[in-house]
Amino acid sequence: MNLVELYDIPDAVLPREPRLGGSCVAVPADRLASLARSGPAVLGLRPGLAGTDGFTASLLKELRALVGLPDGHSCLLVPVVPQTLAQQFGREKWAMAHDVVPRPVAGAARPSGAAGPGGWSAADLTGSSWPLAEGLLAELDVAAFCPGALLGVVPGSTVLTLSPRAAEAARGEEDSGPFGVRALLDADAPGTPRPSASDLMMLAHGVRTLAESHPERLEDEVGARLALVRARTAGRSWLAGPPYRRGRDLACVLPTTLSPAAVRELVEYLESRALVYGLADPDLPTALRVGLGRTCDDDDLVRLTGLLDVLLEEAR
Amino acid sequence: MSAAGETATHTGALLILKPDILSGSCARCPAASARDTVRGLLSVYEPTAEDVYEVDTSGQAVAWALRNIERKVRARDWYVRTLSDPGRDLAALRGLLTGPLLNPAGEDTVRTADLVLGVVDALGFTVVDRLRARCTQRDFLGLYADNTHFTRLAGSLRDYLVGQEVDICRCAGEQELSTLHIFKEMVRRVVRYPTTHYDAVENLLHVSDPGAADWTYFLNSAFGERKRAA
Repeated sequence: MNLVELYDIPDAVLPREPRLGGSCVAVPADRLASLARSGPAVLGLRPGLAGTDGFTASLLKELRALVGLPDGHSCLLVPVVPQTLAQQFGREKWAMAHDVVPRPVAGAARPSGAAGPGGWSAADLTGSSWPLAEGLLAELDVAAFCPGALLGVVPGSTVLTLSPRAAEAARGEEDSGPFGVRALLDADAPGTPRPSASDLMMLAHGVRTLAESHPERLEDEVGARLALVRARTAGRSWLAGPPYRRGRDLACVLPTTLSPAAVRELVEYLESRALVYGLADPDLPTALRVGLGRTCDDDDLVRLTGLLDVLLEEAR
Repeated sequence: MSAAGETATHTGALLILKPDILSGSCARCPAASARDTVRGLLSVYEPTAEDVYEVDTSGQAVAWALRNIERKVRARDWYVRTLSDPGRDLAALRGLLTGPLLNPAGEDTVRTADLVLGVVDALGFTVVDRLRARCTQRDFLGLYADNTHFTRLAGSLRDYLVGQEVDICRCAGEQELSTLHIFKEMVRRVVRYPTTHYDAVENLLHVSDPGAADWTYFLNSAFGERKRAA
């Protein structure tokens, strides 16, 4: 591929926010600003103080309300990625016995359909709008999702919810260690990883922002951004088919006519110049994944499609 | 900015004057600070010279700059404290201390950009091409191409630069390129002291060496391909 130099790319097609790929998250500036504006209330205080525990309880209450979690379900933020948490589930007897290792959802079907033995069910909802689907988390015994794409905060962590029976089963697991689900559920377990106060502060801001900005409109907004990407790429020779969305993903797939090596070269070119991050998808080596969530601005998506045109020689 | 490596020559460096050296709050600086900047620069090449400064903070600012220069000399083999003709160059710098540029009649201040270009001239460089332009997003990316500061500071720098005017000077001269980098360390600190570390090291001006990615970008976008630039 003969990629052009930066000085040959029109400024008009350079995205202002480079974190547009489906595998990265643009943490909005207002989430970071919340650390300075609200942070002094809890940052620097040790867990266990009334202020910090009250803040955490308040945050989880809002989060539960946002995702419609029933009172009996457990809800916590775990400072590891969902894949790592799934590995831990895979090591625990109760989770294997009920087949509730949270795995990424695929397709448009409501994930509660894949029930395990005894009617138990689990899903990893990362990168999708499924956590906002009415009643879904109440139906799942185990649900996990990284809050990054949905809330624009804390990539690298996992929101974990457990049904009452799942929590009871996890608490009955012996010798699962400080990283086990039992320890995660026990606020006093020594040596168990906990989210930092700054992560909780940003999560609180992300939850409040989404809750107060019509979360029920998110699906329509994502659909509109998909339509925008489709319109801006219609008829391009480098596309192997129209952009599409898998299930309720907060990103779309652009199938290309490029070889895997050419896609890698393009992605590396964009990332090394800080133009666009995260367009690669290891599962789809000839495709590009573009974010459609609220952190992806329409204007930047237009710029991105123009940039791809320049680089893939449509516009020259 | 980044080193030119084996492709370096002693001509063709780019000097980019950033917004606050042109029209921001520090577009002018006290003439005494400007003279202290030159004294600080002299102390780099004449370590035994007596350090007598006119402004109270200059001694600390110069010491801060010298520590950073020393750190960079140790860390980078291309970053050297040498002059192509020490006798001529040091005399020219001393001439600035008593000359009209830094001793304007009836004025207590000088334009910081004039201080920069005066030192550049004293070091034997000639500005052979110059363009004042509004910094675009593309320029911002080109300016920080391959720069280790980019990922840490990109957001703040973007707000600081994009949409603002910059002055891009193409310099030629048979002088050691490190002199421009060393001067940059000194002027940022002396005219901006006391300030935050970030303000001191990232503001005011930028030096691009021949062959570096940022140099290639601006040579093409500003001087070579003006009609093609967006």
